[in-house]
Amino acid sequence: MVNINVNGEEHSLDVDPAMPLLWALREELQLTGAKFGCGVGLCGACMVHLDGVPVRSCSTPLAEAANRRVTTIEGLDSAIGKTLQDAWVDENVAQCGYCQSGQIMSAAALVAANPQPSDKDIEAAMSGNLCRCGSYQRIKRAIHSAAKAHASGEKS
Amino acid sequence: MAISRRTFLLTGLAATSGLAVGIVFADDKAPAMPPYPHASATDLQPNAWLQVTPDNRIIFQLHKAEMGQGIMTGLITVVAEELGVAPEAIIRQFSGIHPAYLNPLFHLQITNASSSMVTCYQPMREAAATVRLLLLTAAAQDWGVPVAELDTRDGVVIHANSGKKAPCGDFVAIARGLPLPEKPAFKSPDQYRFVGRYNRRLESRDKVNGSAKYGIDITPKGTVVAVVVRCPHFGGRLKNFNADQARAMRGVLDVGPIDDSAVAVVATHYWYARQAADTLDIEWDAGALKGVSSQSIASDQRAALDALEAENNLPIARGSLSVEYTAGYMAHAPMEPMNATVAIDGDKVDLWVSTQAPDIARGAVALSLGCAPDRVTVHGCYLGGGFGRRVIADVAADAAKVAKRFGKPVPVKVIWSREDDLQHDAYRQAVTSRLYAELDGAVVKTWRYCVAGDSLIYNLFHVIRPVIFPPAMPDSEVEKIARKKMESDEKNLERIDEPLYQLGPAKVSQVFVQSGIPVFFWRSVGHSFNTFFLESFMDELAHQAKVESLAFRLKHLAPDSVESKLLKLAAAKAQWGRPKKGRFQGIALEKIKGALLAAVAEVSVRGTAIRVHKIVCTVDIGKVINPDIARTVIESGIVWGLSACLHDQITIADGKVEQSNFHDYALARMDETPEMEVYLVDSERSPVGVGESAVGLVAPAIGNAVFKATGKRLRSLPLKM
Repeated sequence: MVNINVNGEEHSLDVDPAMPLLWALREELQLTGAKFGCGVGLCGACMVHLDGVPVRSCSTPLAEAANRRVTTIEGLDSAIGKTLQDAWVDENVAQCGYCQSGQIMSAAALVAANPQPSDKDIEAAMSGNLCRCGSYQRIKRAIHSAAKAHASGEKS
Repeated sequence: MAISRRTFLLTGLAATSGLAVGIVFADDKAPAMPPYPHASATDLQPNAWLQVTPDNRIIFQLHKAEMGQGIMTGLITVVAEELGVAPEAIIRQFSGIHPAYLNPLFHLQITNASSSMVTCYQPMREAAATVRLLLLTAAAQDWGVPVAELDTRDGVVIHANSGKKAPCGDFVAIARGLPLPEKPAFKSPDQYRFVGRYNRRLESRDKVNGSAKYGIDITPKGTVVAVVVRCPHFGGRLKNFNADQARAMRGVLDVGPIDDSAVAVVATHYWYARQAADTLDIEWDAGALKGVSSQSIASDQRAALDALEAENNLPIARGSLSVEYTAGYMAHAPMEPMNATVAIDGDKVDLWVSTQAPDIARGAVALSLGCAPDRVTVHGCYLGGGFGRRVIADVAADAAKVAKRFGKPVPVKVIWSREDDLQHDAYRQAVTSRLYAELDGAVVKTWRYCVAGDSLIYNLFHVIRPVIFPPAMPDSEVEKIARKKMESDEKNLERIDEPLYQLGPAKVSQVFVQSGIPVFFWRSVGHSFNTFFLESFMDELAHQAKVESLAFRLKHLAPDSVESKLLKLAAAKAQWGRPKKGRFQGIALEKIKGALLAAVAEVSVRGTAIRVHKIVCTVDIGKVINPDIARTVIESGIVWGLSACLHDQITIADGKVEQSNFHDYALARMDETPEMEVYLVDSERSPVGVGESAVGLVAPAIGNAVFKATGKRLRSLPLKM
């Protein structure tokens, strides 16, 4: 049994503790927002937060998440998370959309740590996330606009 | 290796190329019209796409695959305009399979070849205008007023003269009994509220909060998960295997062969199945392609071109240019790995799969199970990318075979790994081409093109076999027909058959060198290499003629043509001739599926590293439905083209693919994505598709800039300094 907290809820999972967190989320908890893309930590489609830090859930054993806080796209309810999602919609970022949960989880961690990221900061933080539809320019724009909206929201 | 040759003059070729694949139905009669899969006894449902419920909901059936190209929003914007209702107010459903949904160009229910908007624009307008007129006619009867005095807006029928209003749903019962109007009038463009303006992708919200369901996300109750280990050598076979260790592992439910070249492991969870599969001790027979490599395929292609040229006895004139270009294999690699779920319950079969062609998937499952296709229900979902890959129903067949073998009435989901995806794709064909032109001063007098490569049409007929041939047809007969169909294959000549430039008479030859490597339609198909070849060659000719490359192109185009205008606009927007310091520009032109595009790339080269800083693209796609969505899809094509010419490449050794994941099949990432500017020009032409449009012209624009930067002419894809 492995105990984890996912999106604020406690779960006790009866699976091999070596099972990647991604498959526990998808197949045990039916949280399918985190996606399988490469299985070896190269594409970022499976990105979730572990105690607020972005991790690739396809390469993170469930045991590593035991007794820690896991946040998936379904539970991304921080103010910056919501602002990013709105910006993603406004900028028409998603095309096929398959990688976008992972993109947003990476972006949310970036903006939480660096509220006004530069182009270079964004490229450094986001280049681990592949998008086969090539939405990168829109992602960059959405992060800038969300960061701006978030900053002005905090001031007001 | 099998070879078939053909040479012809380039006259009227374009008129027959492209769509005329010559798909013949086993039963040539027009299909009977069964009830719609979503048929309702109470709704107004005058066509296969739209229905209005008595409680005033408008429901749209999406019969096309939404794989990122934005067709869901596009078609709904078109119907919303005619209905006079906001696109987001229309309820969206994935349709089932029905003859009304057949793509008229291919006689399959298929989303491909950038064909959705071009084939659906008019039918969607008619479908919506019909619904609107039926509702208005019903209201006119009910209220005793002339139809002409009524309008619909936002789901309400309005009689302006009396101020009377009622929800559309109130008239459904009467409208159901009315005869279908013959020619319902369309809204005029000056009344448009949405077409050309509506810029919000309808499913965006679901795609940013994790709720959008792709095939891989659909897990009916009781689902077991399987992985399939397939012979890595194309054409190879399973000799024997030992699964003792796998069978004893946690979660494993079944291990065994599903056909003559694959072993499946079924488990309670994907990871258990994958772990167990890794322990299988399998002996493969490498088969007929043992020893075949990318190099041997290229040298076979060269030998075939040598023979073709000797046969055609082509002399080389003085002052002419004769060069060889090549392109390697490419994988589609959509972000959602291949997967399918099959549930067999008595004689009823359910299939959940991300597919571009539900009828091919249904047929493949039926053929694998030995049942009639109408026993199989295909459930729609979003696709995590398609790009041509999801026309092929191999993974649906895998799921059916595993479900049959497993033999329990529970859903079986097969998930391919990324390694499976890259090693068992059907690839963009590798080709070798030779281009030759004679110049008269600065004008091309005559030219020729010959190409050697695999036939896509041959492979297509194997892919669509489950839909077009009787199940009992022997493989040898299918093979015979596929070989015969190669004769009408002009896919390796795409763009060459429509060079756009006035280059004088051309002699075009092709030879099919069947390598045995599976090949298939890959975003932009023949344009993905021929546009590179032709547009690079134009630059070579300009250089030889000592004419600046834009001026040389314009010299070979009609001055007032759309092509000229797009090139000049791209040049103006990109400040052609005035790049930033240390950067160099290249230009290219494209026409694909009715879309016309020009692009300027701004590039710098340091050592062997090519850096693309900016791409400006000008586009004519006819009347634009959703401008910003069109721009995103063009940006997508640019990044795809960039990825393809700077990174991706599949190579073959010993009859198998050498790459396995994104470390050795690298895709473009954010840090190398150039700044992109896309300009859509006003056009009165009927809308055309945009999905594939920008892919082809990226490589030549970059390659032409690299030549300016370094003097080195790159003639192979991917581009390597």
